[in-house]
Amino acid sequence: MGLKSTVVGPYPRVGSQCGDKLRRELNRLYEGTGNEELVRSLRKDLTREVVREMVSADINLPNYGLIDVHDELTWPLECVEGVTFGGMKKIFHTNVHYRQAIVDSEVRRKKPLIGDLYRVALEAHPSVKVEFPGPFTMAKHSVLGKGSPYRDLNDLAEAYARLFREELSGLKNIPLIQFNEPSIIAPRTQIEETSIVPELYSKMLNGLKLPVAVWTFYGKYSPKILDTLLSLPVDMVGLDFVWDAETDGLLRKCSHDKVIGIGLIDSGDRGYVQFEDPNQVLQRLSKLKGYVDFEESFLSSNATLEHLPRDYARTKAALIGEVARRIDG
Amino acid sequence: MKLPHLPTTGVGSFPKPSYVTGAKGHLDENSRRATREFIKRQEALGIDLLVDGEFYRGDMATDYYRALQLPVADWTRSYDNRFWRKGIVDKPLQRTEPIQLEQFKHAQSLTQKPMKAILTGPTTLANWGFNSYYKTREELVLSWAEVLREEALALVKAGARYIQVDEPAVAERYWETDLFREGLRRVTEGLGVYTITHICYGDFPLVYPNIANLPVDQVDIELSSELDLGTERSNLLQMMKKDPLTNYKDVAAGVIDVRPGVSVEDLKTVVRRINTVLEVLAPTDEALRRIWIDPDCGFRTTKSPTVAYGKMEVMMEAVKQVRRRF
Repeated sequence: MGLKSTVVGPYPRVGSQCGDKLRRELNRLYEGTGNEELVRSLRKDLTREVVREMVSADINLPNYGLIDVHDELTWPLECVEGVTFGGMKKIFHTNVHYRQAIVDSEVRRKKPLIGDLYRVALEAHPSVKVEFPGPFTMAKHSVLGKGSPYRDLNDLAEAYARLFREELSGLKNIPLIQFNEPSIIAPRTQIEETSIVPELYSKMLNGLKLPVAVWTFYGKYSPKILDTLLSLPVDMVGLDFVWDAETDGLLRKCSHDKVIGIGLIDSGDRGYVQFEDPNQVLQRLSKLKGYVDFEESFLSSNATLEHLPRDYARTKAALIGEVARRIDG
Repeated sequence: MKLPHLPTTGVGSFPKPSYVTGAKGHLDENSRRATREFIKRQEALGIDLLVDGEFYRGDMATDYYRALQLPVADWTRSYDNRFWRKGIVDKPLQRTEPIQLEQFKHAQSLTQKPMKAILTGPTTLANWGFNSYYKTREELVLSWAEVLREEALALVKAGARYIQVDEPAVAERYWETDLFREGLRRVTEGLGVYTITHICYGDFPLVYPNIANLPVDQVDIELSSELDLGTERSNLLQMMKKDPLTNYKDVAAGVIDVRPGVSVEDLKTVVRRINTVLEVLAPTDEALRRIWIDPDCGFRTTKSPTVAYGKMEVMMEAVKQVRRRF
């Protein structure tokens, strides 16, 4: 087995009979005439469908599609006490929105963060990764309310990390738990703010025996931040090779023992829609040989394929699968 | 136009009544009827500067791609269960026919009150589609600006006295603020009419100082969630209080939450929001005269015409209550 393949974040929902039906039924539900049971059933069907779609594109480690989340940044907080949702804002440079979380009291898990759809996904494929927005990114997209017991966003990030620790403590037999942390490298974060990240992850993961990844995207790496990422107490570090052509060069200068998530296929977040030439992707990958353990690492899109319509996402997923397979051969 | 204190307006869209279906950018009999009914409702409410409700519109970006005969991809999601179709720029952008002209002429012909002509801005159009033709962002944004400039000139010729350029993408690529401003300048410069840019749902503190320099007469900004956070917790309100936008521009403050599932606000809430606007943006009488009141955004996403009308009514009631102080 050589390079493996995966994807990041929510998978496009509509663009199939099942997805379109779900969109229409949700609209009806919001207008007061929909059927909640039908929505639940359609979500399960769609989860199975998108997982099968990823697998048929030769994605070795699919996620569960996250086809029910309101937004990719703050959704776990729906399962948490102490948080209300305020204004809608755009996710970084995109026309995709999240709800700003307002923290008014101590955050406590009301129920498991991983819902039924993860288990449904396992019916379609035996090995499915779990994904969450990371605690640093969630804190960066939250506001401290009047009753907040947290002094600042660092304090809040630690509280979020404790929520995840509680969740992770009850998990077993998960092939990978991935925390998406775009805020670590996104342009609007000051590098000083990221100084809390190593301790945050150390405390969150201390003593837990689970394979964990931290995935970063929507930005560029300084040598310092790359070094920080590669020294985190996690098994895999996902890097964005689309935003930054220098990522390859920087990585070649680092000594590390991490599995690398190679986010080399453009998710379309910057507004480009071309499909990569597999030979050119292979050529770029060849420059990483010796610096990345291809036996363990994963090729992926840099970020969520939800920036693309479903048919394009399917083609991109197939491209990821094809290139990873060709490295294998 | 002689205006009262806190003049009122809309942002653009209104939920389509059930008889309007299949809107893709062009007026038909049903969208004409909906426009007529909506204008009457706005007149009855006493709104000062009217909007046409955009009943003909499919999507604020996609329709422009269609109008320029550009391909349109399948749905992508913007939030929860909301989707839009991204157009693809695969050839030079060229305005071959009017985009909004007929719609504006129709709406203005139905009222003696002034009607806003509304265009989607060049940066928003560039950001909300795919580009496979232009080599640089600058070429892409400025090419859209040229198309929109032609349209704006045609609207002025047709009698538009208020032109709004919608730029909700203002903070998406905040590092491109100079390009954003240049695109807007190319659309609005020298039109000889009152110009507005509407911005919403962005991380405004990132671009706040630059908003004051935008080449328009009025900035129309979504504010209700910030007003609910209050001046202690909202970075944006703190920045506004320190250096009010009204030092530089007229400001239309959004005080009504238009998101789906948010019920009609009570009068007390809207009055409180307006009072916070005044606290932050009206340190002087001169600044007070620069403030307009409107909803956060177009009502399209509110889905229910009944809820949207309720929200317009409570906004007008709150404005009337606050106006009594002056």
